[in-house]
Amino acid sequence: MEQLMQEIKGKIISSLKLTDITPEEIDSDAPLIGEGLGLDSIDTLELLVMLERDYRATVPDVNAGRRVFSSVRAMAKHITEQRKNG
Amino acid sequence: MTKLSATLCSFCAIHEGGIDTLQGRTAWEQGQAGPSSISRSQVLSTPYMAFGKLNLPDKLAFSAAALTLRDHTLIDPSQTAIFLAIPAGSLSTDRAYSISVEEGAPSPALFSATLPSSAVADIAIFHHLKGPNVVSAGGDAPFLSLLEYAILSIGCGKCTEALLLFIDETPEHPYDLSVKRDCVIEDGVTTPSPFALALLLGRMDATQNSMVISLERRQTASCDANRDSDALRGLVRPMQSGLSVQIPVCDGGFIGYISLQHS
Repeated sequence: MEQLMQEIKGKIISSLKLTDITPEEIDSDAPLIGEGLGLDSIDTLELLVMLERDYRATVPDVNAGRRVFSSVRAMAKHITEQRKNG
Repeated sequence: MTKLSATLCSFCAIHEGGIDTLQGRTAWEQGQAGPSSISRSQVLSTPYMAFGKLNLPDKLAFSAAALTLRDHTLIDPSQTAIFLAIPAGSLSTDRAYSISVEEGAPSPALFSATLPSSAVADIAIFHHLKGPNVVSAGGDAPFLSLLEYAILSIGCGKCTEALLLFIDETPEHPYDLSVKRDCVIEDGVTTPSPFALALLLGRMDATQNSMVISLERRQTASCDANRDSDALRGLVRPMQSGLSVQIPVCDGGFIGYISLQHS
């Protein structure tokens, strides 16, 4: 899980071109949207594309999206669950 | 015949030679590849997460706006307009988006930037500019028409000040900014735009912090002086001596004169 979270942090930075921060500066439990990393709706869509492209993980609806994109840990948990089910 | 004038208070030119502002020229750091590699720290002193996410035309527009406004305090941001000329439109972003589609992962961020006006939104939000905005994309760059429109807007009270941006970015010549053209004046290789000339003249006299630009519209049948870089080059010396100069121009539907005069 820790390794996956580190990987996700790297992908968030590269996908969103967050050139001002390093993976170490991203708190695994901090909110991604609004506060925390301060991502917006377009960024969330970009992360959705990244999840599908790199992990074959889907987000079925808005409610699931709120949960999945609440933090890096939640994203890692979602990917892990989909791998188990898939 | 109409005569319009406004004062040029600040400017920024980002080009292959460096970044020119009222404070002088800042050369690119070692390893930097010119405008495409401009970094947040060269533009802003505070972190701004969205900077890295901007596509190149938007990043150049945002940087030019930030550096221009760094050296000038706006009278009223809520009454400040933005005028953006972007002859290449969103072509480079369109191409990048097409590539992401071909790769099977269409980028929402790139898609949102395929509007040529996307730079205006970032600038307006960051600087709290709430005045009108005008975007001219594609075709021959109508610099003078945009300048005229900006001066008219100030004159009729639609805004107190206007931020004029010219992004000359094309996939073939990604760094061919307006400012490069003013460098070319010295070489006499290609035709500079009058707007770029204004920037050049502002840069050449470091003691000046403002310059009056006047436009005089005349309905004449032909005008070719603006195509003559020699004529423009000959205007630099009197301008440096503090003399007013008039340049006949014919650009973007505008036929008339642009006068430059130190204030």
